[in-house]
Amino acid sequence: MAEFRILTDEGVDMFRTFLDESARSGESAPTHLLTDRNYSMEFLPKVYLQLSMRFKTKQIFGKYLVHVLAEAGVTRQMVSKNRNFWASIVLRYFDQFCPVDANGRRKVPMEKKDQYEKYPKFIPRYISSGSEQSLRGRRHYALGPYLIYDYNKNSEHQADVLLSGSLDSWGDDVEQTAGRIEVISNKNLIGVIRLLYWDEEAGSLRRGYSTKTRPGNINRLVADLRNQMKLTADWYSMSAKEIYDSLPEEYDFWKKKRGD
Amino acid sequence: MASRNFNYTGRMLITQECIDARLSEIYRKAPLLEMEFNWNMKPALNEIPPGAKLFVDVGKDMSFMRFDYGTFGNPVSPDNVSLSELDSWTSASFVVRIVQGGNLLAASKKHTVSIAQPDLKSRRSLIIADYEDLGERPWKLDVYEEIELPRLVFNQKWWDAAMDSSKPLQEDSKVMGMIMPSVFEGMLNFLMISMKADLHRWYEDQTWKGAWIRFARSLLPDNIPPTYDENETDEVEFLRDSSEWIGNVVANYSESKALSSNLINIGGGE
Repeated sequence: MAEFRILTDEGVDMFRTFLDESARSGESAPTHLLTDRNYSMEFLPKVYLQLSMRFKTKQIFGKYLVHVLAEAGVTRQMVSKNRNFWASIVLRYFDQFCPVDANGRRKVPMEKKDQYEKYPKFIPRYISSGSEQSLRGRRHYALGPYLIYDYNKNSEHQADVLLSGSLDSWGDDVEQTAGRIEVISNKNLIGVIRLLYWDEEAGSLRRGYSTKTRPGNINRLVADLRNQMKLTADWYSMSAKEIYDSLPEEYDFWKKKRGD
Repeated sequence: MASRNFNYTGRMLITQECIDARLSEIYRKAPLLEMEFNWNMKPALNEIPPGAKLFVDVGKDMSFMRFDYGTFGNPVSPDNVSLSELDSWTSASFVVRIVQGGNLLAASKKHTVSIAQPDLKSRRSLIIADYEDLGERPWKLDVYEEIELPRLVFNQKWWDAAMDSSKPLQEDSKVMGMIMPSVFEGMLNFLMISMKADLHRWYEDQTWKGAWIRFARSLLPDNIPPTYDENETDEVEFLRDSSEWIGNVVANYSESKALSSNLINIGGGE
């Protein structure tokens, strides 16, 4: 177990420089920044992380982080707007978020057109609403799973569908879901996603569930359809099955796959 | 092109007058959202079955809480109305929903309440006081076109110190006397120069924008504010005339409140 320190702004800049210049060639992540007093600082209340932890899925990662932070007395409100905290978490477990492939290189996703943050999967991007600043969690490798798990930790399946897959697998569905508080905070809707797209036998998501050209895909469900339905229905007070039964025909394709 | 939205869903609107909401500050703890409802302010709502469920959905950034207020016919405040799950403890947005069997029968628009502005009964408010970590900056004005209500944001350290000495900043006439002329100037700069709002057309606007414009024009009733026409107005001339008009409004405001005289009387010149 190691005490968790967070990067300073200069430390985040160094991390970004690493992403820019060295990460793709497979160089080791600059985790020393997290112990260097010039680039990192103490985080209070103290949090201790197990550095050797391997996270098979995003759900296991989210669960671990929620548990560790809760043990330390760190609430969601204390960290949800702290950019450097989340950049530091990714740096801490960098090889799992951005593994070295068989050729000794890393794939480093970037948003070239984003003038504020080129690497929002590693360093959360600030978003401003007037003078209020918050973080765009939906694109961040650590903040996204943390928020989704935290909101669903008391539900039966703890958002296992959305948080399936390794830490570096990041579909559009996760972004679309993690970016909408009305989705991640609605356990019934998360339950519908499970009913529609989860193949229980295979233990995986059904092929094509997020293909935007396919009727009844997940992106339609959490965006267009949800926005349309919320004018007449209240999905928070309906069970997952009730929502499922009320879905329009375009979802029949997925219902048939379940045998319904 | 201008567009209009029509409500074909049969869902009723719960108007602002039906809702009395306030955020009560609890020292070092999440605030309480206290709500009361008066459906008589909109008689059409009485068509709703009394047994329909009443919910208040509260959110702020990436945080959300739902409160169960019992039924439309017998609203009962939940035992715990602490906004403990919200990311902010100074303000929150909420929507009131009335639901039966999963069907949405009525809903309010999204409203915002703040620690410093408990009154939601009317649109009289021009600005709300709030606080944030501003480093060493003492205060700033937060305004943009889509904002529910502009905010006068104080430095949190200053705000806390004032609260500790039982003299909230927004009630401190010395502080407000020094700040408000600049706030007023900033607001009019935003409306006239950034937004290039037509102050004649916006005069009837029912949001804070119209309220500020009416207030400003009431201070300078005989002096017509300059207007901006993209094709006809000389930009430099407009900026000069606008600055002059704003300066006169702020001067009259300061005059009407005798701001400098009051500052001297309360020791502002020490």
